[in-house]
Amino acid sequence: MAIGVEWAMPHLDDAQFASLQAVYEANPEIKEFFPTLAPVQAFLIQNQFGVAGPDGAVQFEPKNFTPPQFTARNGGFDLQRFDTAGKLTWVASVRPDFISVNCTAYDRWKNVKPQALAILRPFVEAAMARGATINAIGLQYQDAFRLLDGASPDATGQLFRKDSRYLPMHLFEQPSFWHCHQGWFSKAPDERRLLNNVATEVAEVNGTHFARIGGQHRMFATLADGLTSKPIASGEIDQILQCLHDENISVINGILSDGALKAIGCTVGGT
Amino acid sequence: MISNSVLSRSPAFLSTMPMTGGQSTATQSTVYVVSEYFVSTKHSAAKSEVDYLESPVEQIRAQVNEWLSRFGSRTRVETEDATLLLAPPSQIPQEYFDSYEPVFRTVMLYRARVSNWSGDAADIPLEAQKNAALLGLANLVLGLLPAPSPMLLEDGTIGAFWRRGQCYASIDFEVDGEHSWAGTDGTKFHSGTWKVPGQMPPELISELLSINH
Repeated sequence: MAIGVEWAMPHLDDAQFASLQAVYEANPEIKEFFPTLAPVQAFLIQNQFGVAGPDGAVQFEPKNFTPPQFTARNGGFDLQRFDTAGKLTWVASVRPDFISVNCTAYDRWKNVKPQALAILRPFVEAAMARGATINAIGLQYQDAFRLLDGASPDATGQLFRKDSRYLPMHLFEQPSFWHCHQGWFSKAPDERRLLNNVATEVAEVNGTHFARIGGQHRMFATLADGLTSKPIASGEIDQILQCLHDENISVINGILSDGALKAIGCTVGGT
Repeated sequence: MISNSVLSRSPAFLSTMPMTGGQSTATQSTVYVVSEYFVSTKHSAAKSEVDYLESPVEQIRAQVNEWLSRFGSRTRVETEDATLLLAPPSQIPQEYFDSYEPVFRTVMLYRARVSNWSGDAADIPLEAQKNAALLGLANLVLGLLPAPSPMLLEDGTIGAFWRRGQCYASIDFEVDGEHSWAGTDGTKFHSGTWKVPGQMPPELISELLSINH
């Protein structure tokens, strides 16, 4: 599960990165939770050989052509927490266009959300104090089920809801792998624009058959028309995350069978 | 963003972008437009382009494909007797980027010291050593060269190698960007340096291509 706070343009610059790193250095609780700070480099393709002409078209001469190459620039930093087995359990990623918190040791939303908020809040407030504005807030997740007996109509029939509004029924009759990717805008209770992307697939990964549901729900700082601005204040993040989680639960309940919902600790019809 | 999409066949697109070649008598130059599929990035599709969990190799894939997309119908090559409008190439297959995923992942694990770490064989790579390796690998991706296997040298320097039969080549990703490389086909030996940023030496490119063909 990952939560992201996305910045509007212009994205964070080096001075803002430095101020967010200072937040980390000055906050003993966050430092204790994330013992490791790892700088991140972003990749940028150099040799943009095209030159825009008067009509906006890009022109170049073959004799001036040289192959492109990557250069590196400051891409922010990661804060990392490992468990005793060396597994990465929490990561906070500060990037030019967003700050995200990723939890791979997810148990219950009611436990993970307060922790994620406690991590996000000081960084978001510091960035906004330095001029950053929020473009969107998102929730990203993935549920995966290993299909021990391989992909088959029987296996998918047990996992997925047969009367699902989100999946075409013919997929359950197929003998092998399939995927169904979908996206739609909806209107949040506060009238903001909400983008929902859900990718459901039965596939092979490194020789093992899996059924996976990957989803992302993002609430924008606009009304549902996508044009009228409705700025997001840092104090709204908690409420917005709850809304995104409710949207996620609604989708998951509409896709998975009752048995599969119980397997991932999701109360049927609830949270 | 370029993709195979029915949206590209909208009447507005067809009216502004002829799908076959034509001649302009006013300029006496010939204009060729090769069939293409095009979706405007301004289209308000219900599709997200943000991934909070994007890995380095995914970041590179996005950059490469974005760069390739600029070879759209608005890119021209001016020659003495013609103006060639370039159609966008297909995106590089996902499988190619996927082939690099294990080596990127291993480099990250070297740094995180959680990948079968013996503790004695080599130093843990420094952040700068990891970054040098990632940038070097990114440029291998951009060169459309085959994915290597990773290796870790005693002082924490990260390297990459390719092997097929008696053919072998390797690169050590040095922090100063002066990457040394060596290769052999079992009889002759070649070596040199590849300075990053900078163009990859042709000898290195042919060495790597010969191993994998």
